[in-house]
Amino acid sequence: MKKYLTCAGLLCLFLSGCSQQSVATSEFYAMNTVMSTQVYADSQSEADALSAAIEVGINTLEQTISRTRSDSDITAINQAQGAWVEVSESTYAVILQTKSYAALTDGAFDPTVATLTDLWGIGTEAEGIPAAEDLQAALETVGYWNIKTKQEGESYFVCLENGAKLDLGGIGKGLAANQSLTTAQALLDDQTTPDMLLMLGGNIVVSGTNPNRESGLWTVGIADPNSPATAILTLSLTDTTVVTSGDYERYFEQDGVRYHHLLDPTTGYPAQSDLQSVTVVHADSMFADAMSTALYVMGLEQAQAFCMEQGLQAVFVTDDMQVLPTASLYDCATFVGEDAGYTYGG
Amino acid sequence: MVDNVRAFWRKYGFRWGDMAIIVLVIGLAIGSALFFWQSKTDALSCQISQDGQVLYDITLDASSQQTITLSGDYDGYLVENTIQIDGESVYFAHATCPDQVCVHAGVLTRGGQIAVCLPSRISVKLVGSDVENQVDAMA
Repeated sequence: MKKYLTCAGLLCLFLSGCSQQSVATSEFYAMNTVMSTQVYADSQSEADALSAAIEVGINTLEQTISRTRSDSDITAINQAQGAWVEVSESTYAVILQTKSYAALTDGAFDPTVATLTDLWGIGTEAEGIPAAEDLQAALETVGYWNIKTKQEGESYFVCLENGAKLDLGGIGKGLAANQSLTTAQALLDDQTTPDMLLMLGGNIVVSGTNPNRESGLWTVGIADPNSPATAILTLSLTDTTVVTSGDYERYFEQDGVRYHHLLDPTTGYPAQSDLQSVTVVHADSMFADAMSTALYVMGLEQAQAFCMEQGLQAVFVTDDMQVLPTASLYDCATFVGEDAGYTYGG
Repeated sequence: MVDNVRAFWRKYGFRWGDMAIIVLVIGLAIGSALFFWQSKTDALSCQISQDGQVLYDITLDASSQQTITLSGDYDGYLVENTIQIDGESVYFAHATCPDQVCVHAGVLTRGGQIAVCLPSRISVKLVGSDVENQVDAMA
């Protein structure tokens, strides 16, 4: 009997070595960026179903939070000229969240920069330096305190004062990342952490086990701002999200000056930061999205103090080519930017 | 040593046929491990996609030389992209898009690297080549 058990054990060992998860990969365009997903599951049909549900969910979300679609809640709020607008519970929750992020960062992240964003038009055919008087007029509409919210029973209302306009583009991909995780978990009966990698523009979601590595972790590269396809630092992680904001992502140059898309809500101009990029690592991708923008606008000294105070994990890439992770990230970080001229740590 | 092994076999009633099966199973396990290990260290390849559809999947080696020109529609404007394959390196050599993000992405040389032209919805991705030592994603 024992010999059969031994043989069966060896056979199981062999078969377990052969077991491979099915993977569904997809690449699609949404929220003005390219998104790609790798979803692993026990069967191909399950992986395909998860992948499809994530893509459909992101496309639906894009329509909900778009400020260019005529039928979205955000468009209705922006066009209401200060009147109260009834919105869905989910839109209401997102607006409350973004307002709280703005308050937390003292306005370094502000979802009411839409008028400024439109004036600069960075990344569009209309990009250019706005006239000073136009900027000043736009600045007067910017301020998260202009967002007013109220709940009456099961109805939710939002209005914008002082001509403010909402733009949720700053947290859109983070929201999409959070929603994708929730969608996948719901399809897995909320019991299992999905094994997947989502690349939603610069927002990365790493979840569950990476079947391609012995460690089971996912390796996320932090881009060299001077050559963004190349990593200068790698982080080995799982069950979190990684979000980068940098001046190299969208910009135009005029007379030798780079005008990038990370606008300072207090000046109306691209933030004069001593940073090239900020990466935030946090389980809540919408929060990470807002914080990466805010930390960039704050600049290194204030941003490091803020991270310390809030217990945030971040990587700063400075103008003078330093790569500076917060202390708690050192264990999972590997510096690979020496050849590109970067120095590590501070 | 040999006596000990024989005593062990006798104690549990193994025969030569049993031993053959065990050797076969272990051999299969080692063989499949080698197979999967080798498949994970494939050569570098370049995938060029547009609108999520893979248009080119090119295995790269030191002698690879190819120039690929693609175009896409961007709000009514025609955007042209020139992708240059130079040995085991790939890059957007030229683009007529307004933001030039694809050109600024630089030269792709390692698996996991990706460069994208959003206006024409073209992505260039390097895959394969030593999975353990490449990044899974770039942030």
